Amino acid sequence: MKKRFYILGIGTLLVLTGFVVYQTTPMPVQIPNLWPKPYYDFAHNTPTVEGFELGRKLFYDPILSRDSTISCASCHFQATGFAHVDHELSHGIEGKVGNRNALALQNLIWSDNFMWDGGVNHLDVQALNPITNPLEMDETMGNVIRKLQQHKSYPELFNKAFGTSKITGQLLLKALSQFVIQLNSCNAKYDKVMRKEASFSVQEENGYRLFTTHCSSCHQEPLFNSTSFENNGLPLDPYLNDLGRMKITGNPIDSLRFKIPSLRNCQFTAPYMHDGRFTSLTAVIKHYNELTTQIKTSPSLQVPMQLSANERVDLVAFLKTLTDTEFLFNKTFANPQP
Amino acid sequence: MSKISIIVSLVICFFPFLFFGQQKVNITVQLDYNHQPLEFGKSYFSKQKDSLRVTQFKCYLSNVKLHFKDGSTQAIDKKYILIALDSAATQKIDFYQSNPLLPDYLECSIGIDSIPNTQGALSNELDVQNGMYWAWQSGFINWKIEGTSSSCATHKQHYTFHVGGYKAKQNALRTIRLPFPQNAKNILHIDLAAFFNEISLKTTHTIQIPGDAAMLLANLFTKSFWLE
Repeated sequence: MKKRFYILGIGTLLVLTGFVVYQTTPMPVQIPNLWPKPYYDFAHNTPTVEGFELGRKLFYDPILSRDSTISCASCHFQATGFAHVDHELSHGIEGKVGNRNALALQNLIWSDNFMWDGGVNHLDVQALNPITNPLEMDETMGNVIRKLQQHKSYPELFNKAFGTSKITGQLLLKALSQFVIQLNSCNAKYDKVMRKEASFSVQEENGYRLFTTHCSSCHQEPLFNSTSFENNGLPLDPYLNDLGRMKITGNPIDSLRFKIPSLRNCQFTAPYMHDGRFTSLTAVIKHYNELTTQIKTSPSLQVPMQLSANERVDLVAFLKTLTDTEFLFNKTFANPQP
Repeated sequence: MSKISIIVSLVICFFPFLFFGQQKVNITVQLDYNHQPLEFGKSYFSKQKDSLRVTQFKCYLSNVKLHFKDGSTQAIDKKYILIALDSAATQKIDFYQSNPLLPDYLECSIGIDSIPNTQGALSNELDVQNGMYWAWQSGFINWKIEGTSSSCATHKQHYTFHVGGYKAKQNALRTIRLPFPQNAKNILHIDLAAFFNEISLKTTHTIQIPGDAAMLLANLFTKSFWLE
């Protein structure tokens, strides 16, 4: 009798104070050995299976766009490293065309800035950009939340993930992060070689040597990127007139500086550069091979690579060892309702 | 009755008296134009001879504190308050004042300090759905005023001021100290005439990025605040 009284009492108290008991299943993010510590603070958004599944559903759901036609996945296709294959510039609703090439989504927990100009300072607020950009999803957060709140299944999914069916901007963004923080590519042939589980071919080995000589000061291992911004000698596109990092800092020194993207899975993330101007790795290498000194580039690019034709082929062979098919075809990251 | 039952009963019984000895002070925020309550869409004139209408106003106040003559201070529990033109509920500031003295002045910041600007997605007043967070460049909009003016050679004659910026050379956060007058009515006025009298909408009509222009507007906006 006494026990029943306590259970009833505690239950009533929980209901009165608005707490609902909910349980989530931990889904720790795997950090490879010897990789740097991620920037993302998991303590503020603990990875769970329920959060991941909610984030995955949202990622593939066009409900996030104003006319419900475009989802995150429209410009971020898994098999191409979550980049936008075959499109120089990202696409939006009503056939609109954005002004930058959609970046690959991988290993984002190791980034402290996002977008080509680094304007976004935290992964959790990155998705605000495409959702509200008039050339992309062109939606307001208020409208998205209203649509999700009225949806037949989302309130329950938020309840399972976060213990409340009241959807907020914060929870929507955290749910999307729950998905993207798991998009980590660390099982390419390169990784297996580093773990001594495989070995490079002679051609790949030579490509790796060329890479470490000419490319790795910016594209640093093991993530093959860096968090700084550089001018890599691309002439300004007069139509886009995109000055890159300078738009964020207002500092002329940052004119034409852009993010140094990761080269992981670059075999499939074409087209390349912030405006998607190069359609092949060969064209990218040709650019660095023939850089002129007319454009004020990063100090590390002052001298063109001047690789021979064979060396260029070897370098591409190495870059292909960064392809992680386990990541690109992992069904866990695929559309839950294909 | 067990010990636990007694403790629970005591907490429930005495909860309302936890604030015993504290006086609730309610400060109402009043949005004005030239000492008259501001009306949405009504036409006003500035000393710069601009005719203008206000259609949107939102502003963050943070770290609101009462200062007393004995040197003590009392901060409001809620660190961030969002004042919106279209929501009466957001136009009140409640204190539980324990100091028996009358407050000397009120101190608050207009905007959001740097820490939340780098913490990603936050909740309640700081939730991105309030429309006070930039998507393209992370950071809060400290305050926004939008409307129309025949002086503006812009699309639909709109003027748009979204003022923010938290980084060292772009910091648009401003702290103000407002003295309480004798027989204070505890009304915090935000008189937009004081702001529009300082700018010409012909030349200054669209500021939506952090930087020098935003910081200048942030300085001017402090003139709009006074306590009645």
